[in-house]
Amino acid sequence: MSYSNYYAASGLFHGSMSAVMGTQFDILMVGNDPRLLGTVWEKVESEVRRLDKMLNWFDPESEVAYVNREAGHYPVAVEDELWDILQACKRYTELTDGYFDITLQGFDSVLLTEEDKSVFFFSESLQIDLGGYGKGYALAKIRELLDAGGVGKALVNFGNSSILAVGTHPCGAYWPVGLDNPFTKERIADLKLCDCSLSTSGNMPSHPRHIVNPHTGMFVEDRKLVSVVAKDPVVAEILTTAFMIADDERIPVIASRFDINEKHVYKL
Amino acid sequence: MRNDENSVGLSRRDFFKELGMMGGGGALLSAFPWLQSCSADDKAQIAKEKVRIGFIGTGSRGQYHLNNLKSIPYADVVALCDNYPPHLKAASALYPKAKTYDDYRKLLEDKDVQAVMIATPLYEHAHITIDALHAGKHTFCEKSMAMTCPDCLDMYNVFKESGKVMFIGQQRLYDPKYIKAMEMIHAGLLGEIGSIRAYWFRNNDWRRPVPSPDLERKINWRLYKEYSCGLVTELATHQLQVGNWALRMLPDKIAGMGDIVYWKDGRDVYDSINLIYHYPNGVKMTYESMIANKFYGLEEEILGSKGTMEPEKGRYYFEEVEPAPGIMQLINQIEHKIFDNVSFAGPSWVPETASVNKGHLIMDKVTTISGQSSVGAVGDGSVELVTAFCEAAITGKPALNLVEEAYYSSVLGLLGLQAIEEERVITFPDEYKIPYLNFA
Repeated sequence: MSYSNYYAASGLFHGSMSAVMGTQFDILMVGNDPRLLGTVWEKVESEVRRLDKMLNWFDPESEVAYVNREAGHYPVAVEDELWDILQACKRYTELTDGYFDITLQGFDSVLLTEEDKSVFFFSESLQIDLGGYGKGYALAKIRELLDAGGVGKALVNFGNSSILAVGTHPCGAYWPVGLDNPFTKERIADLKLCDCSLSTSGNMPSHPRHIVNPHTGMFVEDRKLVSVVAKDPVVAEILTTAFMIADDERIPVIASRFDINEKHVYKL
Repeated sequence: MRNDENSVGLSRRDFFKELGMMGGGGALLSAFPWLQSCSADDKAQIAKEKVRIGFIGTGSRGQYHLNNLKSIPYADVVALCDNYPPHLKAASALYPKAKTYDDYRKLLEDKDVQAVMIATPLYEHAHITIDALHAGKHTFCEKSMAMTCPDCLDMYNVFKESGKVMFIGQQRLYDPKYIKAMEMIHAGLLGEIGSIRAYWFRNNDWRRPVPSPDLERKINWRLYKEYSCGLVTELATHQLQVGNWALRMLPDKIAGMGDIVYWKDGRDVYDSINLIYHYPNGVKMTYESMIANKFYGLEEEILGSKGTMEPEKGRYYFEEVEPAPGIMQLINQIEHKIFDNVSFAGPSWVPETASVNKGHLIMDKVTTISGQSSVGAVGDGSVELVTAFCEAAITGKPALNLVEEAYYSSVLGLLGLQAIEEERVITFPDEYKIPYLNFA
C-alpha cells in the first residue's frame, strides 16, 4: 500500500509505503516539479518493492527464501545482484570480527563458488537473514535514483532505524534528526545529517531481545542503543548490529576499519 | 452553568502560537481572512481603549459571554438588557455597575454604549441587530442570524450600508483545530474530497425548567416555531459552514426531511432532521441531527481520497498508509518554514498491526467538546471570537468575510428547513446570493 502527496506551497513531496521490509517507508523530496518528483517516487517505490521481494526471507517466493530452502542440499546458483550482496556480507563479516553475520552460525559454513555463482550451506539448519543489511542496501539504491532524478534535497526514513539524508532541509544547513531513548522517551542526541546515512539499533521495552550474538548464539540483552552515521548507508547499517554485540574494547578497533562520520553507543 | 464552562481557555497569543503562525502563515490567512491581525497602529489603539458594551439578552448564552467578557481586557460592560427579570438580575450580579434596561430600544438610545452584543431568542435577532446598526452601534449577534432568508439578507445589507462592525456568533471561525484542519485539507492532505457527513446528536428534551406554566413559551422558545427554527438554526448552522470551508464552495441544491419522532411533548419544532447539501462539483454534505440518542455526539466527517478528517475530535486518519511517527510533524514544520529537530530516529519501528486506525491529532493540544451543553464550552473559539469583536469595535474595522461566512451558514440552515417544509429539492435562490466564493 502506498500514499503520496505534494505540498505545493512548500514544494515538498511525501511518499509513504507500508508493510515493506517489515516496516514503514517514508520519503520527503524537495522540488518544484511535482510530476518529476512523482516519477522519481514511482521508481523508488518499485525498487524498494523489488528488493523486498528478493531479500525477505519470510516471503516463500523471495530468492533468499529459495536459497534458504535448497542450499543446504545442493549448491544453488543465484542472480548476479544477490551474489554481489552475499560477497559483500562475507567481507563485512570479516571486517567486523564476525559480529555482523547474516548466517548467525559463521560464514565458514557457507561455500560461495565464483564460477557458477552458487551458494552451498554445509549445515542444513543454516539460514541467511538479510534483515540487518537490506534497508541499508535499499537506501544506497535509492540514493542512486535520487541522484539520477536530480533530487538534491531529500530525507528517507526506513522504519526510523535507517535514515538517508540527501542535501539539506529546505530551511537549514542540514537535516536535523532527534534520537530518543526508547525507554524514557527523552531526547539523547540531536544529529545533523547532510549527504549521509544514520542507522540505529537497540533493544526496546517492546523488543528487549532481538539481536543474536553469532559467537555465542545468545540474545543481546543489554539496555543499549547504537547509532552510526556514515556516507555509505550499508556501512552504517551493518555497524550498528556489530556494535550492539561487540564489547566496548572491540568497537573502536572495528570502527577504525570503516569510513564513518559518527558513532554513538548509549547504555540506557 | 458549571464553573469550568465559564473560564477562558487559550490566550490570544497562545491561540496563534498553537496554529504555528509564528513562522508566518500567509496561506492560512488567505483561507481565513477574518483572522488577519491588526496593524501596529490598531494594536496601540486597542491597548489604550476599552469598548463600552451594552448586552441584550442575558439568559444562559448571554451569561456565558458575560463571564468570558470579564477576562477580555478591552471590554467594559456598561449596560444590560433583558425583559425577563430573573435573567437581568443574574447578569446584574456579574456587573453591578452596569445600567439595566428591560427594553432594548432604551439601551440603544444610551449614548454611552458603543457596541452591543445580542444573545436573545432567535426571533428577535434581526430587528434588534438592524436597529442597533441604525443606532450607530457596532453589533455582535448570536447565531443563527435570523428566522428567514429575507431577514438574513436585510441584516447583511444594513451591515454593509452602516459601515459598522458586525459579528455573528459562529465560534468555529476562531476554533484553532478547525483552522488547522482546513489548512491541512487545502494543502491536499486528504486528497480529493468525495463526501462530508455532519451530525449532531443529543439525548435530552432541550427544555429549561419553567417557574410557572405561562412562561413556557418564553423560557422554552427553542421548541416553538414562532420563536425558533429548531435544530437547523440552533445546531446545524455551526456545522454547515464546515463543508463550505473544506470545499471552498457553496451548495447549489438542498433536500431534506424532518419529523417529531421522540419528544412528542407539545413542541412544534422537529427533533429529527436529515438534510442533503449538493455542491456544484457533485459532492454532497449530509447532515443529521436527532436528540433521542447521544452516542455519536457531533462531528463533521470530511472524506477524501487519501484520508479522513474529524475536526470536532481534532483527528485525521490516512486511508491506507500510516506515515512513521515524526514524519507528519516534520512536514508540518517545513510547511511553516520551521527548522527544528524532530525525534524519529530509533531502533527499528514496527507499525502496529491492529486493524483499528487510531489516527493523528490535528495539533498537539486539542480541545474538544461533547456537544451536550446548550450553553457553550471551553476552548471552542467563543472567547477568541468575542475578543476579535471587541478589537474590531475599537478600531471600527470589520473582520473580512466573517459576515459572509455567517450569512451563508444561516441561510443554508433555513433553506434546509424550507426543503423539509415544502417537501422538494430547493435550488439555491438567486435572490439570496451575496457575493462570496462561487456565488461571487
